[in-house]
Amino acid sequence: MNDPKPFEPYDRHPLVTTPVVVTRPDSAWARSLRVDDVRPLIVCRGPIRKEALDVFAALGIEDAGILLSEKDSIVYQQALAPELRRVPAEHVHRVKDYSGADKAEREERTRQIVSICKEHGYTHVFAGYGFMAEDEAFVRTLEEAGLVFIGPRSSVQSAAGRKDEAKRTALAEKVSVTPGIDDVTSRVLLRKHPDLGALRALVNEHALPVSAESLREGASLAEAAKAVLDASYARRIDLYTIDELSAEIERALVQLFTAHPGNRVRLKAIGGGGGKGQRILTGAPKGSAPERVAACAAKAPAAVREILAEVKAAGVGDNKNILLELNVEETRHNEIQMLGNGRWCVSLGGRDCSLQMHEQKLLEVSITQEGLARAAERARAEGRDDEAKTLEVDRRTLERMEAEAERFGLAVGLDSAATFECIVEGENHYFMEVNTRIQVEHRVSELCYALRFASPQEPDDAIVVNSLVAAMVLVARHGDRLPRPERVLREGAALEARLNATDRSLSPHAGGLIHSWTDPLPYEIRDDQGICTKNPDTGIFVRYRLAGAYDSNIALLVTYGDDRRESYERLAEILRRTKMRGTDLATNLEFHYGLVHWFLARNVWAKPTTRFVVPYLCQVALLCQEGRELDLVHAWTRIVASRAACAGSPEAEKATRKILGLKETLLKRPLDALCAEPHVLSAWLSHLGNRSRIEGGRVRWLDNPLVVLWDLYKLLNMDEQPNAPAAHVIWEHDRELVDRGLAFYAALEARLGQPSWSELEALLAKAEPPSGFDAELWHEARAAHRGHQLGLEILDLLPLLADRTGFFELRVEEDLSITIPERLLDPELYGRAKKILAPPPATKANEIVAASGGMFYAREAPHMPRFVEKGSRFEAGDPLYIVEVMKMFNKVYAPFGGTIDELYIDDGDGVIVHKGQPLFRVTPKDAFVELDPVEVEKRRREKTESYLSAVLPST
Amino acid sequence: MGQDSAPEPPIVPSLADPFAGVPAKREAPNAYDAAIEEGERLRRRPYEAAGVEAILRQHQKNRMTVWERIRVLTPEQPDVLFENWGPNLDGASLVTAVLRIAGREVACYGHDFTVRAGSMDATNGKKLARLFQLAGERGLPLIGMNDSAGAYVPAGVGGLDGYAEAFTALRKISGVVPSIMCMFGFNAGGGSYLPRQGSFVIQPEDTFFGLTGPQVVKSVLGEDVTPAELGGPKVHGNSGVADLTVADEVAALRTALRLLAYLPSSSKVLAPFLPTSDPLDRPTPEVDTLLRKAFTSPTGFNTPFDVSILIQQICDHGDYFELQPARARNTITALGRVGGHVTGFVANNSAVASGQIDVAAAYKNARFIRFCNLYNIPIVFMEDTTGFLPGKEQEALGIVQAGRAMLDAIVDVRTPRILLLVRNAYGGAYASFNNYPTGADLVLALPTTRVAVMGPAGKEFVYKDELRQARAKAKQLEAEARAALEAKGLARAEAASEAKHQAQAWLREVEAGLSQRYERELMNPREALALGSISRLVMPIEIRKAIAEGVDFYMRHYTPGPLMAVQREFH
Repeated sequence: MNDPKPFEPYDRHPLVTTPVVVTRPDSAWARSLRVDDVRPLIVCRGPIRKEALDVFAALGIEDAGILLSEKDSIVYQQALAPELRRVPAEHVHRVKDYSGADKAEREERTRQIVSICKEHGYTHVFAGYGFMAEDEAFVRTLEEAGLVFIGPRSSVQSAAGRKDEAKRTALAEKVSVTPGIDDVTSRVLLRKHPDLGALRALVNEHALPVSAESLREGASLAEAAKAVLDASYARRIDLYTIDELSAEIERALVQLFTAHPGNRVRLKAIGGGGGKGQRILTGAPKGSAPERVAACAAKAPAAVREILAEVKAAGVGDNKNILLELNVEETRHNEIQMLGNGRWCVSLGGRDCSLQMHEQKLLEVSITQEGLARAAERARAEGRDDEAKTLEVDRRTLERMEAEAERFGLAVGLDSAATFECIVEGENHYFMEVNTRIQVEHRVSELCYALRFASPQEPDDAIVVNSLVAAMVLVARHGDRLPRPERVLREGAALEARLNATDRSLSPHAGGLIHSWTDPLPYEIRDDQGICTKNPDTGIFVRYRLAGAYDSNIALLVTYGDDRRESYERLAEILRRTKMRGTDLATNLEFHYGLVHWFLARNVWAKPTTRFVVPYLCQVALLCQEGRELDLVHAWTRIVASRAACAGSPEAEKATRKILGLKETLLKRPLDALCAEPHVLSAWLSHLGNRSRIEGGRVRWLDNPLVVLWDLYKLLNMDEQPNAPAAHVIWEHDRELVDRGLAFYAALEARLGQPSWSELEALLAKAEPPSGFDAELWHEARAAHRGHQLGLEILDLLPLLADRTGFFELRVEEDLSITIPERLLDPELYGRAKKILAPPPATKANEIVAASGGMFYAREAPHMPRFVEKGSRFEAGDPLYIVEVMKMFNKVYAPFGGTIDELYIDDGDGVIVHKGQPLFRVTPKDAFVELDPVEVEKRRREKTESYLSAVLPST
Repeated sequence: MGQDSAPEPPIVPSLADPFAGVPAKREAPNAYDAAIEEGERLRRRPYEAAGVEAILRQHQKNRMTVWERIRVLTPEQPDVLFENWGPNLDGASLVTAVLRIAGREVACYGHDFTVRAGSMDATNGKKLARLFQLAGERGLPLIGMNDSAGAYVPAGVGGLDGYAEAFTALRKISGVVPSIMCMFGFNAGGGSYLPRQGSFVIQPEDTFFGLTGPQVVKSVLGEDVTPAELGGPKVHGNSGVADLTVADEVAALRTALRLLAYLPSSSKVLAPFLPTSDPLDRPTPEVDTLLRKAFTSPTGFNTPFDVSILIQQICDHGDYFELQPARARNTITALGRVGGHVTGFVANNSAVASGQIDVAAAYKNARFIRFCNLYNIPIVFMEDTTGFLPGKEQEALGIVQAGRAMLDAIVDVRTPRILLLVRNAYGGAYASFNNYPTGADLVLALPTTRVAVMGPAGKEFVYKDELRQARAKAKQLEAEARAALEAKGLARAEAASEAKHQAQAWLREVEAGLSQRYERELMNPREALALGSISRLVMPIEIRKAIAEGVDFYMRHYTPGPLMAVQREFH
C-alpha cells in the first residue's frame, strides 16, 4: 500500500498557528513555561473544540481527548463530528450529551468526566464556552478530584458569576452599575417617619423585634429603616399602604426619567422571576417638559398593583419592595476581555457586540483605545468634529471600562480568562455581569493584543502569547509563577461574523447538506469546527449535514486589518467570494454581506444599538417585496421598444435593436441575481451609495453606468475568476462588451483630459467636436458612447427601488448615532417582514392522510401522551403519529405546520388504516392563497410601468 | 445640442472602436500561407460556428455551451475528435472528445445546442457511434452531456438512422465501460432513450426529458401538463429514470466527477484503489450507541433507524455516495471506499416504510447489484427487513417479477459479496438476500439478528399443536364457566357472554406467552449459526473491522475481468 498523499490543510493562517512565540531560542525562561506535560480533555463542542485541538497541538500537546455526544455522532446521517477525521479513536470518549438536561444528569456527566480523566490520564479539563464552563459545582468537583480546570477556579466562578455577589463586588470596587433605585420601601417609611426618633416610636407602637443597635444614635437612617421593615415583614404588619408605595415609586420614576431622558424603566418585584412581576414603563423623549415626565411616571400606581398581584405580594405583611432599573434595550453591548492569574489582571481591549438579534450576537468588532484615538484624530483632521467628539468619548469610556474590569478581576481573584460585560449609552456605561469563561468572539481580542510575559530577571527574555486559549493553558499550568504580562498591539482591528444556519429572516433553518465550501481567503480565519477538513484520502470536501442539534452556528468568520475600515473591507471581500453549495441550505452569509456593506457605505464607526438588526431586516424585506414586483422581462422589452422608437432613423433603429439584442444577458442577469437575493440587493444599494442621485424623480448617475455595471458584477462575485465554471461568472461575450466599452471610455477620457462623468456627458451631448477631435472622429465617438450606454438605463431601477422604499432613511448621523425611522419599529411589520424574506411553505391541504397502510398509534407507548390532541399546534417536522407496518413502528412527521381541528381516529391505538386515509383535519399555519396569475402579472406590469415612467425618455 | 451648429447626421449607435484606426491593407498571401490560414479558419470553425446570437440564446436560458461544460469537467484542453465533421465543417452540432480528468482518460460527448439546437442527423449519429466504439475498445469511461432538440427534421429518415446507429453502439459498450449521462436542456424521444442506456443519469432542475414533450401529450391525450410535471427531475428522481437529481448544470457536472472517482474505467479493471489513513480496525462505538438507543426506546426491537449511519461508520473517513436517493429509500444503494477498495452497499433501511422490499426497492437493488457485478465492485449487503411488501397494489405492479429480478441479480454476483445481518431477516427476504446458498462469500451477523422463517406470525405454525390444544381448552373452559355461572343463577344469555369473555381472556394470555416464546426461541441468530447460515457474530463496535477485513481479503483473491457468463432469460 502506498502512503496516503498529504493534502494542504485549509486552516493554517499564520496569525493563529503560532500561539506562543519565544523571543530567544534556548531561553531557560521559555523552557520553564512549557506546557507540553498538560494532558487536557475537551468537554465542549463547536468551533472552540477544533481551535483548542489546534492550539494544544501547536503547544506540543498531541494527545488531547475529546468528548463526543450522541447528537454529534449518530442522530443524523452525514453529520459526523469532523474532528473525528484527526482525533485518534482512543482519545474520543462517548457520552450521551456534553452537559445534562437537568441537575441530576449534570452531576452524572461530571462524575463521568472525572472518571474518564482518571482512567485515561488526563490532567486538565477544558470547557470552552460550553454549558459546563461556568458551572461552579462542576469546577469544584474537578478541583476536589485533583484535576485542573482550564478556566477560572470555582471560588472565582462563585464570586464573579453570581449576579448579586458580582454587583456587590462591583459597587465596592466603584464599578459603574445600571442606574436604578432599590430602596423605595425605605424611602416611603422615612417619608412618614423621617428620623431615628420617629422610627423608635414606630417600633414601640407595634412592638417590632428590632435590635437597639440598629436604632442607636448615629446609626444610618437607611440601615435603620431596612431593619424596621424586615421586622414588620416578620410580624406580618404593613407600615405603608400600596398607595403610599405607588406615590413613592412615582417620585422615583420622575427622578430616573429626568436623569435618563428617552429611556424606559423596568419595575421588578423583589420576589419576581421568570418574567413575572415585571413591567416596563416608557419615559418621555429627550427635552420634554417636566409635565410630560410626570405624566409618564403617573402610570406607576396601576403597574405597581398589577405587579404585586402577579407575584401575590399584595397581602398584609408582604415585602412589597419593587426595584426600579433603567431598561437596557436601547443600548450598545460592549465587553472587555480580561485575563488574570489571581495576582494580576489585565484588560485586553473591548468588543462591540451590539449587532445582535434576540440576544444572539451576529457581528462583533474589536474596540481598542489606540484604534479609537486614531479614528478620532482622523475625523478631526478631516473636519468631522461631531464624529471625532463621539470617538473621543468612546475612547474615554473604554479606558474606564478596562480599568474597572482590571479592578474587578483582581478583587475576585480572577485566575484565567473572563469577560466583563457592560452596556453603553452615550457617555455612560454600566456593568452588567462577568462571564467567567472564554467567549465565542475571543479571537477578536487576541488578534488585537498579544500578551508578553518577560522573565523577571531578563526583560528581553520573553514569551509572547498570541492566543487566549494558550494563555489559559499557561495560567492553568504555571499560575502564580507568571509575571504580570504587558499587552502588545497586534492588528489594528478585528472583526467576527457568525455564520449561522438561518434563513433570510434569520430564523433557524436546520437540515441542509453542504456539498462544497470555498477555501478560506488570505485574510480569513475560519473557525468552522473542522467542517472544511477534507477527506484525508481524497482531498475532497466531505458532505456535512447541518443538523442544528445544538445551535444554528456553523462557523465564525474572522478577519482583521490595520483599522476598522480595512477589517470591514476584508470581511466584505471574504463574504463576496465565499460560496457554500448544497441542498436545502440556508445561511446568513448574504445577510452579513448586506450588513457589512451597509456600514462600509456609511461609516464603520457608526454606533448601532442592540435593536438595530430588526428594523434593518424590515427595511430589507420592504426592498425584497418591492423588488419581486418588478417584471424585468417587461422592463427590458419596453426599454428596447422605446430606444428603437426614438432612434431617429431606420438605420439607427436597426443598429439599436442589434446592440440591445447583444446586451440582454449582460444587463438582465445581474439584475435577476439581485432580485433573487434581497440581502445582496441591500449590499448593492449601500455600495452604490452616492454614485447616483434622484433628481426630479429620475436617476442621475455621477459615475459612468458601465463602470457601475462592472462593479455590480464584482459585487455579485461574477467577475472573472480562474477556473470558475462559466455559469458562475460573467458570460464571455458579456465580458467582451464590458471590456470594449471600458477601453473606449478610457481612451476617450485620456484624450479629453480625464473629465468627470458629468463633464464628459455634457461634452458628448454637443455635436461640435472638442479640441483634438475632427468632426468625423467626434461623431464616431458619440456613436460609440450611445452604443455603449444603450440599455444601461435598466440600472436606474435600483436607485429608484431604494428611493421608493426609503432605504436610505435608516441612516448614520454625523455623531455616529443611527436614526431608525419610526415605521421600521412596527412589530406588525416585523411579523410581515419575516414572511416576505422567508416565505413559509404554503399548503392547500386541510387534512393529514396516512403516509402508508398499517396500524395507527397516536402515542409512542401506551403510557405516554398522544403526539397531538385536538387543538394542538404543530410545526413542520413534529411527530404526529406512529404507523406500524409489519411490526416496525414508524414515526410520521408533519409535512407542514398548523393546528389540529379534529382527530378522525380518536378511539384507541392499533386501528388499521389504509394509505391515503384521512387521519386529522387541520388548519395549516400558512394556507395556500390562490392568486390569479393574470392578476399578478397585471399588477407587476403596472408596478414596473410606474418605475419605467422615471426611466424611459418622457414623451 | 447647440442651436447654431449645422444639423448633424443622426447618430447610429455603434460598438466599434472609433480610435482603432483603419487596418493596414494586406498583400495577397501566397498559396502556402493561404492554405495555413484556411486551416486555422477550419480549426476555429466548430468553436465559432454558432455565432454570438446563438450562444446568447443558450445563455439566456441559463445554460452553458458545450465548450463551457467541458471546462467544468477539466481545466485541461480536450482532444476533440472529428473536429470538422459534417457538411458545414462545424462538427455537426455534436462534440466528441477524449478528456483528461484527474489523470484519467475519459470519452466525452456533448450536443452543441448553439448549432442547429444540437439535433441529430444521419452523420452525427455515426460520429457518436465512433466515440462509443473508441471508448469500448480502449476502455475509457464515458460522460455524455445531452442537450438536443431531437432528430434533425430536414435530415429525414437519416436522423432516425443516426439515432439507431448511436443506440446500437452504446448498447454494445454497455457492461464494457461505465457511462454517466448528464441531462441538460430539453431532450425528448431519442434524446432520452439514448442517454438512459448509460449506467447513470444525472438531471438538474429546470430541465426536461422524456418520451415526448408536453405539446405532444396535449395533442394526443388532451392533457395539460408542464414539462416539470411530465419529465422534470422530481418525476425521474422518484421513478429512478434519473439516478441523481441536482440543482443546476454545474452541480450535475461536479456530481459526475464525484461519481466517476468510484467507477473503474472498464469491466477489465478494478475501480480506482485509494490508500486510506483511516484504520481498518477503527472501532465503531457509534453503531453500538445507535442500536442501544433504538432498541431500548419505548418501541423496543421494533424501532426503525436510518441504516446509512452504519454505512457511514464502515466507510473510510465516513465518506460515501448514495445512488437513487430520491427513490425507494426503504433500500439504500451507495458506493463508498472500505480500506481503499470501492465497495457497493445494498442495505434495507427500516427508517422508511419499515425497510420492506417493494417493487421500486427491488428494481433499485437489482440495477445497482448488476452494475457492481459487471464492474468488479464488491458488494456489502445489510439486511434488516421484515420481508417483501405484500398486497394488491404490489401484486398489480408485479412484485413477483421485481423480487425475482433482485434475486436473480444477487444469484449472478461474481464479485466479492458479504452479508451483514443487522436485525430482521425473515422468510423470502432472507432467502433471497445474499445468503450462503445464493453465493455469499461471507455472512456476518450482529447479535441483534432475528433470522426466522416468519415474523411473529410464525407462532401459528411452530406452535400449531400448543395452539390447537389451547383453543380446545378455551372452548372447554367456556362451557365449564357457563355451566358454573348458570348454576349461580345468571340468566342464560348473560352467562354465555361472561363465560366467553373469561375464556377469551385466558386464550389471549396463552397466545401472548407463545408469541414471547417464539421471539425468544426462534427470532435470534442461534439456529442460523448452528446451521452455518451465519459464519460468525460481530459486535456493533467492530463492524468496520469485520467488513473492511472481509472486503480486503476477498479483493486480494479477486481477479478483475469482464463478466463471462451465459446470458440468462429476462432481467
